[in-house]
Amino acid sequence: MKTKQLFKITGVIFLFLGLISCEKVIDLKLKTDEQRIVVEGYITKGETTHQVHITKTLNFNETAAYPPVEDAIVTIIDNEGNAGVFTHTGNGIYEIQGYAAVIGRTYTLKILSGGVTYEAKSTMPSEVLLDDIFILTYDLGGTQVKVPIPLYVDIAGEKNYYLFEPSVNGEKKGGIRLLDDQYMDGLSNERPVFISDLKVGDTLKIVMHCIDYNAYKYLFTLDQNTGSVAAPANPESNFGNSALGYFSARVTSEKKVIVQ
Amino acid sequence: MKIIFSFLLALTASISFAQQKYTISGKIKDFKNGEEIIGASVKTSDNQFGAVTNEYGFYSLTLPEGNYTIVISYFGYEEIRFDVVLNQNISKDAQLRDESNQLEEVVVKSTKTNDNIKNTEMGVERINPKEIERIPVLLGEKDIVKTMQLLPGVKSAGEGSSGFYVRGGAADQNLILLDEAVVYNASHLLGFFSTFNSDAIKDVTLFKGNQPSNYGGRLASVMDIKMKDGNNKRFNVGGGIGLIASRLSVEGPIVKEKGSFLISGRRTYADLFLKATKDYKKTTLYFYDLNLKANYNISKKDRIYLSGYFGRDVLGFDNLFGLNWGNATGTLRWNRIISDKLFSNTSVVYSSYDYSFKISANDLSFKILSKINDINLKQDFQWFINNNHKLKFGVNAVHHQVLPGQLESESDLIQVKKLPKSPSLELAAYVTNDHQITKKLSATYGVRFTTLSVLGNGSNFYTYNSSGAVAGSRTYNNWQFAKTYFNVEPRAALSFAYNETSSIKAAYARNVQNMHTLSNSTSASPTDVILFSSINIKPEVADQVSLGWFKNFKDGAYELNVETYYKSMLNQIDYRNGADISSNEYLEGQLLYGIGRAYGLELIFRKKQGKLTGWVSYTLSKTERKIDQINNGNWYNAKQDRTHDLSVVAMYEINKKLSLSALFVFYTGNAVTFPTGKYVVNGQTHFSYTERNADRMPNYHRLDIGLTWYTKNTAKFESSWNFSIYNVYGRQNAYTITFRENKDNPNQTEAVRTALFRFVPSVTYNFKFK
Repeated sequence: MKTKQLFKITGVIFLFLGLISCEKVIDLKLKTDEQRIVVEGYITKGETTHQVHITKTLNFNETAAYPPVEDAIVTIIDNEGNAGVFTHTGNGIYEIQGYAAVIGRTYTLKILSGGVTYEAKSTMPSEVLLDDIFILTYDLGGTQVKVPIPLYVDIAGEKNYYLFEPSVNGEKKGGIRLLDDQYMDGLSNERPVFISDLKVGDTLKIVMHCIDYNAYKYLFTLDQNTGSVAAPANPESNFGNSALGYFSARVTSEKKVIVQ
Repeated sequence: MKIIFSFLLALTASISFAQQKYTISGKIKDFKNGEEIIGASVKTSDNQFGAVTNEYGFYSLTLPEGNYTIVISYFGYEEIRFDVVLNQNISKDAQLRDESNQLEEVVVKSTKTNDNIKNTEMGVERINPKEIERIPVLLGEKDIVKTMQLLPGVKSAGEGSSGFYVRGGAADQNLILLDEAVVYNASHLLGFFSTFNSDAIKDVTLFKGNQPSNYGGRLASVMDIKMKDGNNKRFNVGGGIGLIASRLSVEGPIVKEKGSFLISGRRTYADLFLKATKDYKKTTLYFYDLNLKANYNISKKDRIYLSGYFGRDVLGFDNLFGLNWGNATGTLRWNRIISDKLFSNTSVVYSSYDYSFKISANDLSFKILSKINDINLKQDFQWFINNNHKLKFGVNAVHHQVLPGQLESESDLIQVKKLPKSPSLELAAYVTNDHQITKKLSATYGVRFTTLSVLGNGSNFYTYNSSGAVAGSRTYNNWQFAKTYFNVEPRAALSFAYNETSSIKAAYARNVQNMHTLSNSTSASPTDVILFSSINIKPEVADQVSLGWFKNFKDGAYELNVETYYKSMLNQIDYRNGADISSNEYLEGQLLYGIGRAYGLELIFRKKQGKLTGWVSYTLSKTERKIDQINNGNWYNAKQDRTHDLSVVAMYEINKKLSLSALFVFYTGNAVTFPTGKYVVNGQTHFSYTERNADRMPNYHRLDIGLTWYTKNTAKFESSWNFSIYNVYGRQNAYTITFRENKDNPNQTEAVRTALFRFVPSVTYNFKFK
């Protein structure tokens, strides 16, 4: 069981506090920080077109859209020497075409922006595909709760990490949903991913990404900050401390079901 | 070594000058119920010589041959005087009467004592449960731990919390002892109540870092709680009915004046209300406590005590999930008065804490179990050498065993990895001397030697590199010593009473801690991980120096204490960013180590007599940490850093039947990390952070009021009603502050404050059949 989910469930304990607590939006003076670069780059197995999105941070109280970085030089090279250059297509999005993404290769993404070079590495993990989605129904105190279980078979003898991105009726759900194989190496997955308010008749799509350890760790830490951790901090990015965001080589598959 | 040498020198010097002297010794008890009185004063009427009863009510006073009038006194009791002709050793027990037993027309005059001025105790707070009866508390559950938080240098861990911080120490740096047994988790219901049922408690002492050498094991404080022995004269049934919980105690003699017992229980019934609601019908939510104690005088010189505590919290929802946790402790003690100058106590102590967390959903069910248990053997001696020297020495061996978060499941869909139990052996030896150097100058000095040995358990011990990855592993057999830490803890305190009512005191102490609690949430949680020092985790060490001025005014009606302290700490522990902490074989790789420092000023002004009594307590302090890889290796505020902390407690006796009380608390918000910026990843907004704990929660303040109405007090029965309102002006103190996107405008982010407990009224009915 992924501990993060356990702790989310432990959160139910705090339900009773709901009886006595009250919430209010307050005006809080927060410190500001210099603008930092945010990179989000993906290399997807089986595809030849890949994108990197580069933006900048905003102060907490600002309401503008996130400012794109439009003058960066973005290049990629794998451990066998296959190199390529991304071109800016607008709005901070950089694209490369005709570039192969192969399992087992390590990719290095380099970004030159404002005189600073940012570099990150990611290894394309083994391929595990999403076979189906099973919808489990719980009776939770008289209420029927629907929980999807992504069905796939883990690869035995190696560490595998998974990221799930569900959308319900075409609308992508927020939150970070991760699983690993610490307690199920080589087994069929039976663990659910939680989605709130799933109803009969909804169209549920789940996109599953196999990711490497660094990307998993980045997302795991990013997700921890959304809970009530004692001391939130910026997650460890594979760009090091220089840039926010991450670069991930991944294997992607998806399934769609109508919730029964 | 130097300390021991000079200590021995002082000792032999005083023995060699001894003249023809005799000893008067005995036990001081409460007349009404036979409870032994701790800390009663036994003096000659000219105030030349004096002694104080120990934790078993025993005193020993050695005087030159002659005629004396002996005065025995204790706060809140009538004093006793008697004459002795001291030409041989005398054994003399005495019983003191409670002042409240006096007729009303007699002017109540509490003993004026300047003991607080003369003794070497610094940074010590004492609470007698009787004194706190009238202080208003959350939901009417009187709570000694929460009352301690109103004293200088002791800070509440948060709204309604029974967790506390002492002089910049973390919540896990307090040693909580109940009849010598360590209580690992002293809170119920996520911290809103402490595990101590006031009905069963006789005396509480808190040492704020300068504890004498007979205590050891935590950096910041020792809270030493002693259970009542039970009335050895007559049977009593007492109890209370409150909004959230009820209590019942039964006590009485086993054989009159020879032995007694006490059984005291408490249970909450919030879940009964929840059952009545539609939404929470299937919710389970309760806790209970059971305190048991029995004692028996097997001879005039020997007494056996058996005490136990069992408490448990149970939370659950239907069959879907359940969380329960609890402590169990047991203490078997044998007191022996070996001679009129030598007192011995032998104890066997067991203590355990465990939690289990269970989830079951269709065919997928599992449980996480965590357990810690200790077996402790102790031998303590108190040697009343003469009037200038009182020596305590002893040895102690504890076997700890920890099972940190074992995942269990019967389902074949989950692969369970059996985590090994981690045993360790802690040994200690100490010696400490109370030394009256001159009439004005007294000292307490001693040393404690401790070792902790990490024992093998037949499985792998890992070492880690600087980034937390496994660097090596080695297997140790059962009972094989994998690593032993040895520490010397010197301690000393000096008091100079420059006149009858004023003194200056100074103290130094080193404390070592081998138990480490890892908490990753904002509030303490029953599922926090407890570890002992290991091949990776070194013992935590703290050195504290303090200086204070103590003054009594108007015959002891008022008291002012001013203390300052500076503490430096080594081997402090924190998690790496993004640590995965539960059920993790490589947990120790997720830890980082560093140093800490804390300093502050503490003031307390008390009014101890008259219709209006109470105190004002204020603390100004700073607590910081420095850990590699956190905050770029710079000093940062510890979570418990709080600049100002003020408490005002007032109790006013309107008449014999009615008593009013009020409590005001103000403190600076805890140090926290708020976002400094925001960014987008994968279409979602996230926050960026710069410095660790550089922000503050809003200031906290609150006023509580209470009214106690003593309805009946006859020879056979007494009863009272207690009404209180918590947070009278309904301030919404921030419990948490979270950050989120505005629902209507995702470009806008907002801060959300969650507040608990506004105007919580409560009523409790207390009764006692005598």
